[in-house]
Amino acid sequence: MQGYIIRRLLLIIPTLLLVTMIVFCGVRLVPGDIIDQMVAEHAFASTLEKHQTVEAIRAKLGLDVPIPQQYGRFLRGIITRGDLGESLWKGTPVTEEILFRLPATIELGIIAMIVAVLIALPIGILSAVRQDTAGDYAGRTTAMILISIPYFWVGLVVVIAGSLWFGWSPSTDYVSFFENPLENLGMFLVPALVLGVVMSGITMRMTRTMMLEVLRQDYIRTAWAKGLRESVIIVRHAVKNALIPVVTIIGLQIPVVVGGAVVIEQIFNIPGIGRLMLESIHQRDYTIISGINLLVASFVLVINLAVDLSYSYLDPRVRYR
Amino acid sequence: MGEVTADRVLEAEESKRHSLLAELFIRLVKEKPLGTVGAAIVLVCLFVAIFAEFLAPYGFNDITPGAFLKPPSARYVLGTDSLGRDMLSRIIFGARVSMVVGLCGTALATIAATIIGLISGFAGGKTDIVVQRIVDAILCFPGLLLMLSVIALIGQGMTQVILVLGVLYGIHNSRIVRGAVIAIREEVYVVAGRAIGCSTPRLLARHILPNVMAPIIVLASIGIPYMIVTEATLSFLGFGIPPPAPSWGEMLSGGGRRYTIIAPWLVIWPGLALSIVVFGANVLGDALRDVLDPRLRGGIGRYGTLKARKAAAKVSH
Repeated sequence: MQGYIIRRLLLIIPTLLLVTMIVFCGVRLVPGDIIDQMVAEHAFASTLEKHQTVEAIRAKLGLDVPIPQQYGRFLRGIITRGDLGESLWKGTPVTEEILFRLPATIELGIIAMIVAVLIALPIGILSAVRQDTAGDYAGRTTAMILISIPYFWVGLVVVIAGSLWFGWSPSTDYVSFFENPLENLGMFLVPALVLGVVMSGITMRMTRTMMLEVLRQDYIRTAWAKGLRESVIIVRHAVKNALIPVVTIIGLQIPVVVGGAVVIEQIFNIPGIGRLMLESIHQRDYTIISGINLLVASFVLVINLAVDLSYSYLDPRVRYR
Repeated sequence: MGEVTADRVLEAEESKRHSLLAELFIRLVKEKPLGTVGAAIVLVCLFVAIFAEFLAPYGFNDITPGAFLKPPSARYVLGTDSLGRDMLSRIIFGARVSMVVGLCGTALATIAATIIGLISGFAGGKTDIVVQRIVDAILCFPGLLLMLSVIALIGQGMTQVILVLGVLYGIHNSRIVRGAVIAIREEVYVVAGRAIGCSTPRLLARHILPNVMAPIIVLASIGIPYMIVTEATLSFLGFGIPPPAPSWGEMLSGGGRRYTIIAPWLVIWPGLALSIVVFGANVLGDALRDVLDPRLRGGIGRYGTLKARKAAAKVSH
């Protein structure tokens, strides 16, 4: 088991390096005239560091030394100091900006995933067990509808309906979970529900497919032949085996959640990474953009590793390959 | 007695068979009613997109001064937006935008996925490992974030959106094509082809490609709704197709958000249009996948076997 873990960890390193290289190249691709434009804009803005010349911005982006050296500096900065550079707009360290906004997005993501799993798993399992009945078709059509509806539209409609019928609007103050749990949850409940319900569509279909496959297996047929009750068969034998790929799917939904968070945060005024990303793109703050990309990609990589390892833990056959 | 040969039987069978496409269509209608509904929705959307000029009562950018934020009436069937433009016409022209992005983006994605998958899967060895590592690394970035970042670099516009969407979706799905290619790579007919001296391009084009068509068709059919929704999301965030182009997603942002309370119809119609079209395309893609799947073993190529049989029939005459 340990050998497997070590092997998987080693496999991650080249991919991680490639991720850093992609982010690194991204900043290199900033066309020259954008830098000139940034200089021109900064010259007129009064609240920022004044009169940044092209050379100063180049130096900040680290573009003034030969490329391999730039990459070395970049990597060293990240590994040793966790330094992702400084924001071009405000001058504050990128890491600080991101860490400040991270908790909101994490909370949104976690609640959304919990909602999605709570909805998708029972319906998916029921749909598979009662295949081709009216319930199954209802479940499948619901999943289809959930996948097709653009989630930002649902968010918008919820905001409209909320304010028209209940006089409710998304709150603007962010209260941390540790300060005031109830108010904090109240703020996240509706957006997380919206995101979770829409995400549950995909998980629903995957659960149904996996359950169907498992239900055809021999050991299930043996259990039937032995005379076990349906509930016992489903819970004790089928679900556990069907859940293994579903865990993978849930892990792979993380990038979808991050993407969805960008939009939902915009609609519901949540000060998270998604909003930070949008603001940075508007302000052409390339250091923050690359910082966010790097962080999120590494996070996804780690989650994939965790899912793989949990897969090997749940399914002993994988370990001994 | 010898006249009732295999050839005669074959001929009789062939005369009963329809063309491949017709048979696919017949199966779709008979077995998958929901899929047929989806196909109908997509066809209607395509029709509206092509004949938008004749169907829309006004132009998509026709501003009637003083007629902004009017609720649905006989004159403006779906109401007007904050600039005084008729919503119905904008939605109709929006179908064109969605269809163009959907079809072009999917075409680009399919080509990209096929090329990458074919090369990576067929070459194997070092090429495969390197390409797969790069694909892995790209897959680590959440789609939306990566697209936003790239658009921040190359700017907005229909071409840019189609490019970004197509290439990214293609890279994401190259794995599926690669998997299919790897499954077929060691088949007898491929090895035989190589043994008699088939050049690699000829092998790829004439033997491997027809037999991996099924997953390619599936990813194309799922690509269209994905493109439409993602373009709408990008436009909603303000990084897709810029105004005054009537993108449904863009209609939901801008004027839509500011005036939603007093004019909810600004938000309802574009969203409804999006949902219906994407639902139809999704359902169609699903049905296509179900209809094609059992045929996966022969590829979409009854094509291969039909030709062989015809050739055999000719030879034996």
